[in-house]
Amino acid sequence: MTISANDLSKLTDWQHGQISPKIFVDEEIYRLEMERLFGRTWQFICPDSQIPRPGDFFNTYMGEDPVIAVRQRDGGIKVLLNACRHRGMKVCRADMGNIKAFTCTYHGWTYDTAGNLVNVPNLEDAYYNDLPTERLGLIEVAQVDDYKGLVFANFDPTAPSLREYLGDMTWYLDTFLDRREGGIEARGVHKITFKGNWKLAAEQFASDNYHASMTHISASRVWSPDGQFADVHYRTTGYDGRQVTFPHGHGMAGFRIDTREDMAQFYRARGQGEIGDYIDRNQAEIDERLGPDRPMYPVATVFPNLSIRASGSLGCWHPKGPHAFEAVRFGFVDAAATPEEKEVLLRLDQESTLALIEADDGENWSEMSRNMARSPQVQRMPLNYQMGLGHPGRHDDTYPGIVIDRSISEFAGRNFFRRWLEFMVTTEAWPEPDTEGLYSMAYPSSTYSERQDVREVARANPR
Amino acid sequence: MAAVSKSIALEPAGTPVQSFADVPQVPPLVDVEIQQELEQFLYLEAELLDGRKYREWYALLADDLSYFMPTRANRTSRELGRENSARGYLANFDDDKRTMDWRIKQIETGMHWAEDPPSRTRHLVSNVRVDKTDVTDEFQVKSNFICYRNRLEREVDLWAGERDDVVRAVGPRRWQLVSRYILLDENVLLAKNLSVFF
Repeated sequence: MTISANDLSKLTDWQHGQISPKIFVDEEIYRLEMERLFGRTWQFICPDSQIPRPGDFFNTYMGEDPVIAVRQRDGGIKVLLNACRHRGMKVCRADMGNIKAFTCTYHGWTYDTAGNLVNVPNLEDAYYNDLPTERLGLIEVAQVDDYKGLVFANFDPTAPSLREYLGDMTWYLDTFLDRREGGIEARGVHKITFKGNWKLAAEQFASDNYHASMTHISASRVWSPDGQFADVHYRTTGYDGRQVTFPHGHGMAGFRIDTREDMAQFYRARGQGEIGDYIDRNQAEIDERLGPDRPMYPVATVFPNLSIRASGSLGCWHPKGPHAFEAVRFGFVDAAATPEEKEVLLRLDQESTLALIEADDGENWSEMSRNMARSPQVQRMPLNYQMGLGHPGRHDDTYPGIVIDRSISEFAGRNFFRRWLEFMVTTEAWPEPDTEGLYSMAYPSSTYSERQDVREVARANPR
Repeated sequence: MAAVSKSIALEPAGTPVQSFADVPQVPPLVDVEIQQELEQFLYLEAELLDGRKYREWYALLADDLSYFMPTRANRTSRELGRENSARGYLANFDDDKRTMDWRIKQIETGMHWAEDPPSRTRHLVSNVRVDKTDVTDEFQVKSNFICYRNRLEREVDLWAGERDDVVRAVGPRRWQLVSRYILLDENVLLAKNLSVFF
């Protein structure tokens, strides 16, 4: 018996900031998630520059669905389900490369790089020449699109366009996608397994600036043993920054209102003077393209599972069952940087970010997961997402999205689960974001008509 | 070489002599003492790491250290030359002495939660192959490893791979690691972190 919408709503009480551990561990909820969420959202595939030439392919997943992104002869990209139409065998088991055709190792069915079935052994004799090969091409993912070098795909043909889905989140994504001429260049792939539910990571990057000063205290002490780095850059008082979230579920965990000089200083304080110098050298260009207000170090999630740590890597959390996920991340550098700059920037960022910072996240996630998966008492204990509850968000002339006047908040996390629930309970059509629900959370003291006004203002002032 | 000559001499007259020129050859042996000392160097290193003596291990690293572990992709045999990531691309480790110092400082804070409580590790080193380099006092040392890690209550990780090192003599029985290229035999990292040294 399928869990009811009512039961799902009770488990996901985002309005009161109480989320049941069950949504992180239940097998049935997981299965429904694969269909209702991963089958209908825009899923990040890879950087455009990962597959530059016709025949280049990249093998990845959308949820648990195996897909291959292939560069076409006309320069476009197709995303194909990696399952032979005969018996479901993977037609491509290499991670990446360049290929002329995909041949299934089971019976030899062969598909061209557009997914057309072009060869079936024994078609004439065994099949009596009677197989509708033109209808047996690899299943094509319904929608594929590209935003400034990031390729996304969506199984649902009725889903809105990528641009509409991303909305004004693009203003923040441009911080690294479009800060210099030529945008970004992909620089390698890194894959690692984590224990725990994928939502632990996705929600953290959407909403959790709070954890940095404790989880990553060891990293911040490396860079300033007296604790100064953490005090200056991690534990803001909370007053001097913003958190942002969007109706489609995206979240910017929390950023300080920094000028570009401070970002150079930020890197110097981490012993990464080379990155600080690079920012200084290119500040004029960056300012001209982006203006002076963009947060330069966004930590964010594009709903549901693409997270940005925009200093040099971004990555997807691929669910592998309710208790495990795989982080597939891409390194990137400004295409306009020199070869030497690219190497140094990537290496230093990787060493500081992926190396020093991420291991401690993994420790939290695996031990939380163990508790939630095994302990009936923990499963009865609602997880607390009440930070900032009842305090309104607002529209801001500078920062798009619903803006919270704190750099440390859980508002975006509540919104993440609000949007998750919308996908889980809305089955008859693609779930348009319930802005009334979000706005009533954002502006709790306002009336319905006041919220309508706010919405009108937002629509009248697109960025 | 003498043994091979003897077997050729024993061939009956008139029989075509087989060429063994394409049989893979054991590299020229270094002095047995060098072989032993460098094996012991690797065992010393393993003992320091398993004993969590990171600062002493750090002293084994040369100032011009390059410590690199590429990521590894599943490639068709046609494209196997691109199996291991190149420099300038995301890697599992891409350290110099400065970043290695960061890693050890992180452990020394006592608040590196991924290693607090600390893991129990056991490094097993074998297949040690030593070769001279063009630089006096520097040797190439290749070795295979298994690193077993047990963590908290039931977390077990097992890594295997090969290291290709250049080591430099810096004093009597004192050596430093100049460069290490680690081939870990994994594609997707199966552990939740690599907070150990290989």
